Amino acid sequence: MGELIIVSIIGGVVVAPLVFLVWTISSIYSLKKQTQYHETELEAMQERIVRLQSALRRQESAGRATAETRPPHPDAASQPYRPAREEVTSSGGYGMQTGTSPGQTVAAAHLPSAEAYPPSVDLSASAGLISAPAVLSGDQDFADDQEIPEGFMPDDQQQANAFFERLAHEPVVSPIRPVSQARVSRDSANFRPERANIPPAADWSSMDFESLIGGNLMNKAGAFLLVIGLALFLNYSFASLGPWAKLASGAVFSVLLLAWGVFLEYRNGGNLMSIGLIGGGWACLYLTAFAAHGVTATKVIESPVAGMSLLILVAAGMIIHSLRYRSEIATGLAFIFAFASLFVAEVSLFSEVAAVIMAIGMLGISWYFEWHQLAASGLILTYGSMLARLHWNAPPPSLGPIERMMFTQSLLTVLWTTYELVGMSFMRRNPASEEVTRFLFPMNFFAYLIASLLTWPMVKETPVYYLAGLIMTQYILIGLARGIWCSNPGEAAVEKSRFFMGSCEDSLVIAAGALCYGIWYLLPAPVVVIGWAVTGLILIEIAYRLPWQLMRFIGHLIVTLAFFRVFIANLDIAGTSGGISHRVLTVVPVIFMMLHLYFRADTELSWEASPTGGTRQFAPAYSYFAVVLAGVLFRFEFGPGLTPPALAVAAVIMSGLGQKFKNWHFRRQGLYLALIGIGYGLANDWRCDSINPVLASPWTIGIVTVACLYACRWLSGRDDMPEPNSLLAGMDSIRPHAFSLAGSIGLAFLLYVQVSGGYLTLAWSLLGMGLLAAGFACKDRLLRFSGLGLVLLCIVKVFLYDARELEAPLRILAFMALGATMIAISWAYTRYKDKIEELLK
Amino acid sequence: MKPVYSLIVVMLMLIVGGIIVMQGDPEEKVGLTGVMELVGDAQRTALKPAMMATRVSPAEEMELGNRLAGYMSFGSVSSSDSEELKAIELYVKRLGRSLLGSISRKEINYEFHLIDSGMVNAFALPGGQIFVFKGLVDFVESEAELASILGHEITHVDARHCIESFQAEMAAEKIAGSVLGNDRWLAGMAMRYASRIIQGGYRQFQEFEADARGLKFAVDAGYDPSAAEMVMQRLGMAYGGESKPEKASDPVAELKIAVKSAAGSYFRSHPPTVDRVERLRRQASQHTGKKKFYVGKENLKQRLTRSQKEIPEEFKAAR
Repeated sequence: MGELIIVSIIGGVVVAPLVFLVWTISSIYSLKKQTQYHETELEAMQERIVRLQSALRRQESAGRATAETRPPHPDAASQPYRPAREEVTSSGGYGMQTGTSPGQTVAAAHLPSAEAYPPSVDLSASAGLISAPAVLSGDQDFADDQEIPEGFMPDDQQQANAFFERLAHEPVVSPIRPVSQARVSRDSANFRPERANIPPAADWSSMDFESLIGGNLMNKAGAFLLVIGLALFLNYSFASLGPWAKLASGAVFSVLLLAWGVFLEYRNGGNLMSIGLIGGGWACLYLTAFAAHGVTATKVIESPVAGMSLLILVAAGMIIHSLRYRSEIATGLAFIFAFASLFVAEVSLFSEVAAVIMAIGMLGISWYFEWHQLAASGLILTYGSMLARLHWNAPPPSLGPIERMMFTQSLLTVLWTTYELVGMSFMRRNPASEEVTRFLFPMNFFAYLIASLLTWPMVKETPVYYLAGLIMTQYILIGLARGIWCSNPGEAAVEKSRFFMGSCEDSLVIAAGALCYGIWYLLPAPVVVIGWAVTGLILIEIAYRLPWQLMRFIGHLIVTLAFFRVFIANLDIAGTSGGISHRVLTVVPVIFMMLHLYFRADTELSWEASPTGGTRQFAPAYSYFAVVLAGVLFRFEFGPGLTPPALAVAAVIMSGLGQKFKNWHFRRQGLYLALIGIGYGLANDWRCDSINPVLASPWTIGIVTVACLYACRWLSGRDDMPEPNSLLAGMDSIRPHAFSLAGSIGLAFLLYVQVSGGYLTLAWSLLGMGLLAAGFACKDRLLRFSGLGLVLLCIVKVFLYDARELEAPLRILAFMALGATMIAISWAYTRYKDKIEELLK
Repeated sequence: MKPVYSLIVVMLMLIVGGIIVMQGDPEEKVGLTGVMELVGDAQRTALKPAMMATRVSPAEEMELGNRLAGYMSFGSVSSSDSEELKAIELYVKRLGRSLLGSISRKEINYEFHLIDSGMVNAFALPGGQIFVFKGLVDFVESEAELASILGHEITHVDARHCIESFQAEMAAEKIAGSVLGNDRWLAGMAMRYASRIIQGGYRQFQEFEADARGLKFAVDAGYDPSAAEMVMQRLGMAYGGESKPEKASDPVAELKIAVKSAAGSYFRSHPPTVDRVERLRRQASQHTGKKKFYVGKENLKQRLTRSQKEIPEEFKAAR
């Protein structure tokens, strides 16, 4: 019984006033607009006639003057206008049209010169008033902005008069035409059924305020009161009626509304009231059909299939009727009422299916008539009503939470599919379709996503990754469909500002996003990076083969995320498989992937040079990603102790690769690795916690590392040094010296750690000599300076530390060793002066 | 190599790597501990010159250690204590000295003390002052376990962890002495807090290093390498280990949790017990082969070190 009251209230108090209100406002607005339009048009027409006649008179006098001054010319017939233009320009001094085409020149010469126009007349404005209807109607008559044909001479005055006379009396064609009629020019005439009879427009110019009130508004007010009374009657009578009688009342009421609308349409050719009544009639009829199964008090159809069939029948009736009227507003109103009718019923499978059927019907109509606004607003309406009903109404007791979610998601999926298909068909029909159509795709995506995320938590046990998987599957399928079926706007790669506007590419990008979420949710933490890397790699590869910019960027983004993911989930982990740690198993493939991407991106054009927006600028980043991952892998896999030699070996490799490929990124990375390696060595005192005694020795770690640094020094000495025209190039030029200095420091520190205080001076002195000799041999000035610096350091040490701290024998040893070293150096400089100078050349 | 070939190779590597990891029951550990470790490494390297510049001589370090140990004498075993306590302290001293074979700073004189307290703990002071609570001796189940703990504390001295936390303070007091006079302790205190903040980044690394090298000292002395892992596991169970956090709802939430936990962990002096156990297990697993290691359960009961009484039944093979 409660539903009955709501039905009657909705029907009588909400629907009818709404129809009336919409209609009243619309009709007043329409009336005002039409009146204004016709008044403006009449004024323009009168002004135009006066202006054109004046122009003709002036033209006539100008023609006479030209005839008097123009010298006879044999080609006068082929060049009849130039002298006239020159004369007008020189004599009148007014601005003249200087069109580039001959026709325009002719028109300027013969038709209204600036002198002929009153100052207040705007040529372009006046041209627009005539030209629009003329073009729409396909009329071949000439407007004043059209070219006047060759041979149209001032002598043809009578013809001209007839021409302007005809223009003045030509029936006006309304510029406000329905979308469907405007669209006919694109399709053949047989494509759409034409409306049977279009009665002539009412003579609005004779309507005054009194007739508006008495003849129109009073009429509608009466209808409004009638509807109110009818609603009250229905409300009263429903208390004592059975289900069949209630349904019959609803059906009769609906049919009456429909018949009333059809009658009004037949009588006056259709206006908003008739359209509104027809739309309301259909909505009520739909509501009645819905009530036959969906409302308990009026349930006469037990079978859901039968109930649904009835709804489909009514929806089909709406569609068929809408085909006849081609009014986007009327159909939109009908659907609003139909959707509103669903709010009176409790949420059930039946009500949701009904909503989806209506949405499909609406989309069919909008597709057929190419009503983009209806499709877009219908999308919001459909998803919005579905969500509102789900959250406003109590859950149906007949359905459990899982079933409810499943059928809701199924319905949402059907809706989503329908909108995707309609959007695709729009795009297929017209690739340069309106923006509103192209926005159907993102709107559908967001609406579907939001609706799904809001309904999904109804069942907390169901993981969200199911939804991600569902979305991924949907968008992969729809992406393939778009690629196969639609002309793909994504191929217009120059559209750099485009953001998923319905291409196959966009669809796959969305699917990839959902896939990444599903991977994160499903896979164990260390394996997520593998999943993301594979996804990103596939996207990038697809996007390389097809010039898909967005997908390429998203692929790069996913790969970059995978890189950062390594730091939070793959470094500090335990666990092994087959004796290999999970860290190695997950990070090493990612390193190789980064290297692959480096070489892949490096062969591409740059962003500026490529029409598709190349991503070559990302290439160096990938090489650094690979090196950073390799470095941290060494650190965590070998521990801090073994990191220095590992990084030093990597530095040699990178320096070698840099030299082989003449790649400065690799060379710089070699330097960075070497410096980090030496840093680790110094921080750890060259110690290592390995159980292997050889590896555990600081001598091993230090010597291997320093040897690698000197190897890098040797390799870098063979490089062609860049011009020091930038900071980076300047740093590149000091790279060999950096290796050399780092090696010397490392060696000196190794002695400091391993040789006890008394013998350190001796050790450093010997090292200084060695470095000096090596510096001469290798012609490396920094190496020589390192050696000398170390000897000087020994002098300082001897006096500041050894003399005070060491015991007497060691102190003596230190002094003697240092003295001997210095003498040896001095002797060497003196004895081999010539050779040294030769070496230094 | 053509891009398509390298693509195939990389894809195969990724997929095969992923499948193999999936077979090995991978650890679900997400956090910024790895990043914090790298930050600690960087801090340690950056502070190395400062630490070397402010380094004190072994004599100064031992003097400081003695001074600090004097403050700790409240619970130390005295002549009036029971014979049992004296026996335990002697046992600890003997065991500690037996572990000094592979230390790098031979000039440091190590002293081992027993504190008569039920607390299960041990700590080290600069200059080789090692303190062990009686509760810890009661808690361990074998001499090997006690050896690994003593080795841990020895490493704190040998690797200069203890003295480094005082170096900055001592240097500040020296420099400020001429200016502040008797108030130079103010500069020292300020520097102490500053250095604690700066060194906080690698304090956990020092614990890992002490675990690793402590185990090495114990193994070098012939003790069972798995003892350290076992005692650490029991400590974690007895005194509250960290529970694993639940999986976050989405990747962004996961990152938020990781950042939060990383910020909180910066000032933690000790790393999570789970991580320590895992690392000790990994290190112990390197000791394979036929070599046998000493456990010493009976030695612990009798308070007689292995050097005093070697029991053949206490040897066991490595895992």
